Amino acid sequence: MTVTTKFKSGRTEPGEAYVSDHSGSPHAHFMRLTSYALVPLGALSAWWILGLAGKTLDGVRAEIARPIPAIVLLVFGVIGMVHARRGMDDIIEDYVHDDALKAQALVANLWASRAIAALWVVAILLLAAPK
Amino acid sequence: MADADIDRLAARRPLSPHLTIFKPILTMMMSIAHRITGAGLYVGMAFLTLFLLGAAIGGGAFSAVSWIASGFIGNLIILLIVWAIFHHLLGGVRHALWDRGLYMDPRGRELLAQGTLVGGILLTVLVLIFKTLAS
Amino acid sequence: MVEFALPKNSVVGEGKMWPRPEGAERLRELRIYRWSPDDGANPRIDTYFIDVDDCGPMVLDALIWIKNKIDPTLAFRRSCREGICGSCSMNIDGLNTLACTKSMDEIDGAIKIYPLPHMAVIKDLVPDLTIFYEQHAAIEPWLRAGRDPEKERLQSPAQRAKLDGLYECILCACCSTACPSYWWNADRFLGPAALLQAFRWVQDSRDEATKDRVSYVDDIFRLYRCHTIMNCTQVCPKSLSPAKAIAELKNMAIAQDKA
Repeated sequence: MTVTTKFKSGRTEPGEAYVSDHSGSPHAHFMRLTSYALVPLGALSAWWILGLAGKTLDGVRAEIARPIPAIVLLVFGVIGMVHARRGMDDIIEDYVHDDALKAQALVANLWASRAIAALWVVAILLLAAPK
Repeated sequence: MADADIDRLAARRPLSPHLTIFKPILTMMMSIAHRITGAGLYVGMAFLTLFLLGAAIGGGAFSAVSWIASGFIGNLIILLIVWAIFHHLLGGVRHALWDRGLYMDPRGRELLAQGTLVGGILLTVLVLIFKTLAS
Repeated sequence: MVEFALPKNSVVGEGKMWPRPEGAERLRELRIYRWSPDDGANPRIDTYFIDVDDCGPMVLDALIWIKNKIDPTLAFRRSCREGICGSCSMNIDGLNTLACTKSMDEIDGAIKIYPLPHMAVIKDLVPDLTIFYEQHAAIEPWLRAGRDPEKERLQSPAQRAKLDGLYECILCACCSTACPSYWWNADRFLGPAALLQAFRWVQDSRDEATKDRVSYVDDIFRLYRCHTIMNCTQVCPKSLSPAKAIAELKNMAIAQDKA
């Protein structure tokens, strides 16, 4: 009897997933380290992000263009987006099963997260730059 | 029975119901909420980046993006982002405890799940009150 | 993409309303998932009524009562009727558990019974557990030690105690089939039951293959599809904690990876 099975993580069948890829441990470790940093950064940033609500242009500049909010928000944006990228990788790995589509989604995620982080840094530097 | 018959029978088998029939227990809901707030913050950061870029350029660029943080929609976006930060942050604390094998008993699990839900809302309201008082 | 909705052939319809038992004073309603490979129809929910005063207290008692007195075509697995064989695992009132240890008094209203979630159904409440057993085989659930010993391998009480909470697993599959991550990725994620057993052998003082065992599970799919959703531990009818075993495996894998 050769009932076909879909299992691909076995030890004996040389399936596509036969060898452990060992990428999960550094990924988990990275998520833990970044999340420790994001606890204080996130809490502080939430305070200043809330301060943006309903502000005029001058109000926004006054909120962001001080050294401490600018630095905290800048670091929050960068660490937050690398953490978000890895988290989105997890979502893609969970839900996208087509190999080609998965590869594209992972690349798109990488560059989208980099673009957001880069533009975030540029925007805050411009806002905080002495006029 | 030939192998082909067995495989053909197996291929016709229905998939048993899952998401629709599983009881929505709090720990599972908080796990889903952690994923939704995480993905939501990704999108939220994109909108905030647009807003800050508009503010940095100023003038017409700012009026094009000011809806992200003002008016009913804008206030809602900012409030949701702030709540998502706190909810996701507390979800992270929950995961950090569970990663160390702490609070894994039935009462501990329930406590952490409730703490994430209530704490996220509570912190958002507190920050909102203090921010209103400060300005 | 993962299909969050059921495939067309799996959508559940309303089934038959079976007659109420005659002369019964107290009735209990059960709504049970039915599917037969013989008629080519979609799954359906049949409604049965049991005579509470003529039937035992557990959900399994009700299933056996129905099979004996109303509908002999109802298919389900059962053997020991005391929570040690792991055969009668199913989804009762929204949670995976053993029908033999689940009291009907714990449930309000009609008792809804489905097969274990997101599994191929062989008939009615009988799921295909082939992949589940392959996962168990993959973690090599036996003692791996080099030479044949001169005498038996002794364990101190402390070493033996490390296996408590791990060895009691009866492989009922309640935990694995309660896990959403397992629903979407059972072909590569080992699932809570197999990972609990992987950790059981890692913890065994007589086993010499710890490094290889940890290395084998240290994979983005095999181990790390676990996102600590906790459903496994919430439903385990033996009150074990696969989530805790997995957390420890992750910590060992991270430590081994850094070394």
